[in-house]
Amino acid sequence: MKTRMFVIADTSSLTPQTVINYIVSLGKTLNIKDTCYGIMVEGDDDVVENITLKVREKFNADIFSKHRAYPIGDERRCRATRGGGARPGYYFLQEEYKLLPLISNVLKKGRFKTIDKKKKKPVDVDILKKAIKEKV
Amino acid sequence: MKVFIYPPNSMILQDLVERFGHTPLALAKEIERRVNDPELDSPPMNITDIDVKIGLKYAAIEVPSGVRGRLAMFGPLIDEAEAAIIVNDFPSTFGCMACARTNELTIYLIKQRRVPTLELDYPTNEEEVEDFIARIKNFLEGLK
Repeated sequence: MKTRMFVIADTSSLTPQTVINYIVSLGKTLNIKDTCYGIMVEGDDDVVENITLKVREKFNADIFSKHRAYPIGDERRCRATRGGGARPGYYFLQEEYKLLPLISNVLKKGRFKTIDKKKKKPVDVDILKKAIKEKV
Repeated sequence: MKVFIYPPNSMILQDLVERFGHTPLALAKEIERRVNDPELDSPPMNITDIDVKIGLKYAAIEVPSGVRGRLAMFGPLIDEAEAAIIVNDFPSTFGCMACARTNELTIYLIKQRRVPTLELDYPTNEEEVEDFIARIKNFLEGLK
């Protein structure tokens, strides 16, 4: 049994329902949950992996996916049984969610360009000595 | 190839590694094994005293048990790694990576493995994102 999260990029017009409809149309035995960030899918390992490939092929850079450790609705994580509040993993999701539109945009355009970053050099000792002599 | 990602719970890294045709070694794999273990004593906890002992393989006895417990999860992934991607300077809320000593030891262990490693800075704007993805793509394609 494997669980996967599918997170939809903020700038995409894709809705969780569209993804669910597509997955249902594939006719596999899966447990699917609609969430605020996308969907969660649970099922046999090979079925989930196969679905991931197909979803990625169909929606390309609009959707991102990761393996989730806890099963869907697990009492140790589900807010329904924990009395509300954010699920512990949401801090990470919130942080990465901000970056998804940019990553999605770059992947769609296929514009992969490296930039030469100049490493910041430490200040030269002579300059430091001169500044100290002048000011002290 | 199996690529260890750091931070090990990053969705972006996990997704990019899969997109470019490799297997990511992410934290979920280790946690899943623990949370689905019927022998687990206290269900809300991921780490048991056995993990703290396993952590001794990766850190000395003087190291706090919390660090050893975390390393008991990261360690087996690092042992399995054939390559690694390390992202530096990520925001403090970027995943449950708030233990600085564990982070230092994790990077040390990756470097000790002497596997091909790519080190990057966490991107903040579009230009940096382009560079970030391009470097990951080139690195992963070079592994084939």
